[in-house]
Amino acid sequence: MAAIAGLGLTEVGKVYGRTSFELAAEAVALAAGDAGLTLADVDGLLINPAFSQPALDLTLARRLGLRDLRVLSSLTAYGASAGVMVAQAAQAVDAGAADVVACVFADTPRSGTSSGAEAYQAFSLQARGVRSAETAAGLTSTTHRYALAADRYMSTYGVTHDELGAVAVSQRRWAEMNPVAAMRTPLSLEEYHASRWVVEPLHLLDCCLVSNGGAAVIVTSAERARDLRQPPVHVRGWGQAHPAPPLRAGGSFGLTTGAKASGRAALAMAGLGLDDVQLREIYDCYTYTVLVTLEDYGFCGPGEAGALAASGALGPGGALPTNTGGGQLSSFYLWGMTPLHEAVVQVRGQAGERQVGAHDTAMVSGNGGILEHHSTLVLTSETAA
Amino acid sequence: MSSVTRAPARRDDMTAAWFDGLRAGRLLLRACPEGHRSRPDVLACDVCGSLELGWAEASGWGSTVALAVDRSTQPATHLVVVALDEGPWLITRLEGEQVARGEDVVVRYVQDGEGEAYPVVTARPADGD
Repeated sequence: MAAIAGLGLTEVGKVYGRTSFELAAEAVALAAGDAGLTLADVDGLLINPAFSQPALDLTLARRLGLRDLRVLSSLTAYGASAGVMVAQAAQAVDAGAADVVACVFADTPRSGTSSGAEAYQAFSLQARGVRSAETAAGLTSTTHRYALAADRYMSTYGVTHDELGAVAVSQRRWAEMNPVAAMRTPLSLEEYHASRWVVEPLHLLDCCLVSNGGAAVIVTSAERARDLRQPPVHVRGWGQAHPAPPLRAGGSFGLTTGAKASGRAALAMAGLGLDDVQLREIYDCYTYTVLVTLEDYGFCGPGEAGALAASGALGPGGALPTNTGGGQLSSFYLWGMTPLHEAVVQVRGQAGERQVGAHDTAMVSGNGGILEHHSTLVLTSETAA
Repeated sequence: MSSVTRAPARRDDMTAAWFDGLRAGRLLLRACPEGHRSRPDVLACDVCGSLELGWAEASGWGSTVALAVDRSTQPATHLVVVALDEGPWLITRLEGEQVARGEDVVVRYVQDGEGEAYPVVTARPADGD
């Protein structure tokens, strides 16, 4: 079995004047150092490029001086990429294809004059074909599409804005205790409601942050990880699902996602059940995404996650600690590295003030595209391994 | 006028016939030998997986599945997922009179500047137009 032995996170947020390549290089070096390794020990590199230019590519290896790699690939499953990278790294390690695999993401969508949202509109604005007709009609960003998904979900199940807001409020309470979180001032439900519409039914505070920064993890064998500097975080199960539900009659658009199949697969591989999961680090590009993912994983029934959030269960002291660093909504947005980073910190027991008491097993989700691509990791501590 | 930059609709090789149809006021869908209809950009039939895809004209009738509103534009843009009567869903904007979820709409065709024509929807007239 493989384990995550190193974790690297650069400065994140309004970080200007550095390219994705520089941030990725620093993240990989930090992750190796965190594990007690050097870059010379790295013999595998998986790279997840984002949208802002220049986007990461395979030249990262050469420019970082990684000259004798046995595994090297650039891959994307969009927001599901982090989980996919870790799963592929674990498989490479298990197969003996590489011993120390670094998985890295870095992005610089923000500039001094742009909040970064534009970088994420490129997909819509540069489209051709059917998508360009949708853009011309007014769907100029990913948020427009998620707004339609959220509307279908909310109208089908009667989910309220108080319930979506409860996710934002709950995660802010966690972020207040996270020194690397961008948003650490307390948030009330009233402030949530007062935040402007981005695309109704999504308020500004339903949407994730946009951040510059880089993050990396080091995956190696469990045996080797035990001899390294940090407590091993075992990669005990993983799953992917890419349901690509056709947009047509009977379609599940907005109501269910690939989290259902990927979560089931990851838990089955781990030989664990939902009751064993002590931490949920859920991809939260929007508050709504958290709710539908919790339902797909089975932590509650369809349409019930809003009430769960409103009950306080997801927040500090709640029965189902979720997005314990504040998530993409309140800490930072580095695609799937955000939930993965927090899971590693928590499972190690290094989360300081926000450390969850029972932290041996974490479920980590990734969500890419418009609910099209999903990855799940089940991570465990040495105690639970 | 919109206060945001909207990129024009642009054809690619796969959608040339679709855009030609829109320019002529016809909404085309991919059609397989079994009679199923799929969205214009599929490579295989949504229903049976057939790769033998031609084009067939849709009625232009449908009903709304989901609604969203972008208030950053002037006037606000009402976005909508429409279930076409033939099965496939269309994602576009609603013009004119508002409709509730599940209510009937009909496809219209608009063209902005130098872009291709693209479909929008309006509330279905009471007389069945």
